[in-house]
Amino acid sequence: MKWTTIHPAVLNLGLQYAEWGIAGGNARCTAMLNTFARVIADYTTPPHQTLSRHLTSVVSRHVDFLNTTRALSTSMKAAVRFLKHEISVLSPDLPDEDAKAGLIAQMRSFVEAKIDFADKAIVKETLDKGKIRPGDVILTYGFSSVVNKLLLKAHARKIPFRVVVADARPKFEGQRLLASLVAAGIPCSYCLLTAVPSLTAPRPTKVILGASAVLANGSIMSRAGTASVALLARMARAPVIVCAENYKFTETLRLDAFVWNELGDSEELSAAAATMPVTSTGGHVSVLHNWRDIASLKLLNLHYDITPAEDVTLIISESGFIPPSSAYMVFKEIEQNVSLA
Amino acid sequence: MSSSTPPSATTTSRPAPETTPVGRALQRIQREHPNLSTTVAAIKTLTECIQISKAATLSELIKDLEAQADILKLFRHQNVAIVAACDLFSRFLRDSHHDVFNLDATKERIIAAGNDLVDKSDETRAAIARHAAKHIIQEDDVVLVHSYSRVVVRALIHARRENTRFKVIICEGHAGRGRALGHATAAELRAHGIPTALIPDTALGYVIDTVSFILVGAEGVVQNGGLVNGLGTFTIALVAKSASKPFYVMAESYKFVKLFPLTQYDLPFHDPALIDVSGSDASSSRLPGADYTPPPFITLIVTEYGAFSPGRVADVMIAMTH
Repeated sequence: MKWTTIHPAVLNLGLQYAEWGIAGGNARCTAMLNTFARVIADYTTPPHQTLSRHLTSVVSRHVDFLNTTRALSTSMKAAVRFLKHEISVLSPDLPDEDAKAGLIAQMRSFVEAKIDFADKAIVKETLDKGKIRPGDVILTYGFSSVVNKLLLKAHARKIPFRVVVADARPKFEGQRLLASLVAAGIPCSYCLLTAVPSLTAPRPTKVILGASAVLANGSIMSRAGTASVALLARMARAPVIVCAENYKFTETLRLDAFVWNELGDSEELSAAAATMPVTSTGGHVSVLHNWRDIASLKLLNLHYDITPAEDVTLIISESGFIPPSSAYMVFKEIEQNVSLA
Repeated sequence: MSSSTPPSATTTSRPAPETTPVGRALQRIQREHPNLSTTVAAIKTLTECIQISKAATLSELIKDLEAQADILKLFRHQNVAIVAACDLFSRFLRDSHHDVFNLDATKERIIAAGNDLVDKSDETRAAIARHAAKHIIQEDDVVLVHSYSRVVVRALIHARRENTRFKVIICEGHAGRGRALGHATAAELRAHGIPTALIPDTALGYVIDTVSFILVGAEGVVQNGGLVNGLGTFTIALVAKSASKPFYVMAESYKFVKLFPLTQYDLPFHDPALIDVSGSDASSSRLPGADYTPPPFITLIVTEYGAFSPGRVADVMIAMTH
C-alpha cells in the first residue's frame, strides 16, 4: 500500500489504534467517523470521475489501511457499511460540496443516534426499570464506555451501590474505569481476574459488562477475560447484564473465540513478566524474557473471547431488554427499521 | 403506564387499592365471574372505566386510564397478572390513536378490543387445554400439578373426556395463609373421575420419581420466558430439574408481560426484606403470593399459538407489538 495515498489524519488515527491510544468499540468508531469527515472535507472528485464511485474507493483504501493497524471492530464495520451505503445512494447530479456536506452531516448523526443517544437510552431504561438497586454490589470487568456512563448516572441519581472492578494483564483497562468512578466518589474495590472466584465480602449481587459485538446466537464478543467473569457469575447465581448498542448486533455466528480473534503483541506478555520482582537469591529472570530464543515456546495474547449466551441473563440495548435467545430477532428488526428509514 | 417504576413495598402514601372505586370494581368482577383469570378481569375493569369516563379529549382519557391502571398495579395479590392487563390495555390505547378527533369512535374501538379479549378468553383457555390434552397428557401418565390453575384443571378434564387414563398428584400449595388451593383442584378432578392424590408440599421430593411431568398454569410469563406463578412453583421446578422431569407451563398469550426479573426479588413487591426474622409468626403473611421460575427450568410453554421453548417468548412479544 502506498502510504502517500493515505490522508495524514488517517495515518495519525491508525497510529493511535495501533498503540491503543484509542480503544473500545464506541471510541474507535467515533474517532474513525470524525477522521473520515476530515478526509471527505478535503476530498475533490478527479476530472472525468463521479463522486459516488470514486469516493467509495477512497474510503475503502483508508479502511484497508486502518485494518492493518488493528483489525476493524464490529462497530467500525457497521459504520463503514453505513458510510458506503450513504455514498452509493448519492445522486450523481448533486454538486460535490453539497454531497460532501450531506455525508459529513450523516456521519455526525450516526454517532449521535447509534452511540450517544443509544447510550442515554440504555442508561435510562436500566435505571428506570430498577436494575441497579440500593445496596447492589456491581462487578464489572475492564473498561466499557456505556457501563461507565451507566454507573456514573446511577451515582448521580443517588442510588447507594458499590462497584468491584476486575482487571487483567496486559492492558489493565479496568484502571480507566476505576479512575472515572473513583473521581465521581463511587465506593469501589479493585481486584484482578484471578481474585474474582474469591469475591465474598462484598459479594457481587450482579455483573454488568460491555460488549464488542452481540452475535446471532446471543453470545457476546468482548475483551478477553469477560467470559470467565460471566461463567463465575453464573456459578454464583449473580445475574449478568450486558450493555450493547443496537449497531453492535451482528448476524455473525462464532462458535468459539478461535474462529475469529485478534492477536495482540506477544511482547506485551513478556514485558509484563519481565517486570516481575527479582527474588532474594537474585538472578531470577522470567523465562519469558528470552522467549524468542526458545524454539518450543510461543506466547498467546488474544484480545477477545466469547461469552456463551447461557451465561448472559439480559442484554440491554436502546431497543430495551433482550434475552440473549432473541439477539438474532432483534438484529433482524434493527435491519428492517434501518432499511425503511 | 408501562414505563413507571413499580412502587416499592414500603410505600405507604398511596391509597390501598381495595378502597378505590376501580379496585372495588375489579373485586366485584372477580366475584361475579370467578372463571375469569385475573388478567382478563382487570381488562374488563379497565374497559368499564372507559365506559364511565367523563374525559372530553383523548389525552384526558389516556391520562384517566393510566391513573386507574396505576391504582390497579398497587394490588399485591396477583400483581404480575394485573401488570400484564394494564400493559395490554395501554397497547389497545396506542393502537387506536389514529382517530384523534372522534373520541367516541376511539372509545368504542378500545371497548370493543377489551370486550373481544374478555369474550374470547374462555375459548382461548379451551384451545390451550385441547392442545395440552392432545400432545402432552398421554395414557398412563402421572401428572404433577400445583395448587389451583383454571387452565390446568380444564386440560386435565378435557384429557379425561378424550378417554385418556392418567393419574394426578396435586401439591397442596400451602402459602402460609388461608386454605390451600390444591383441595379445590382435587375436588374438581375427583368429580370428573380422575384418580387424584393430594399431597402436602413437603412430600414433593418423595413423589417426584413417580411423576411423568409437571403441568402448571401462569400468573404471568415474563420477557425472557420465565414464569411468575403461585408460591412454590419454583420449588417444584427445581426438584423437577434435578429429577430430569419435563416442566410444562400453560399460559394464554395475554399473560405475557413486559417484565424482566433478574432474580427472585426483582419483581414488584418482592423484597428479601419481607422474609421477617423478627420472631413473629406473621412473617409468612408478608410473603408475596408468587415466585419466579427462570427459563432454564422450563421445558415448554403451551399457548393458544402452540407450544414453544421459553427462548421464543421475547420473539413472540416483539412480533405482537407490531
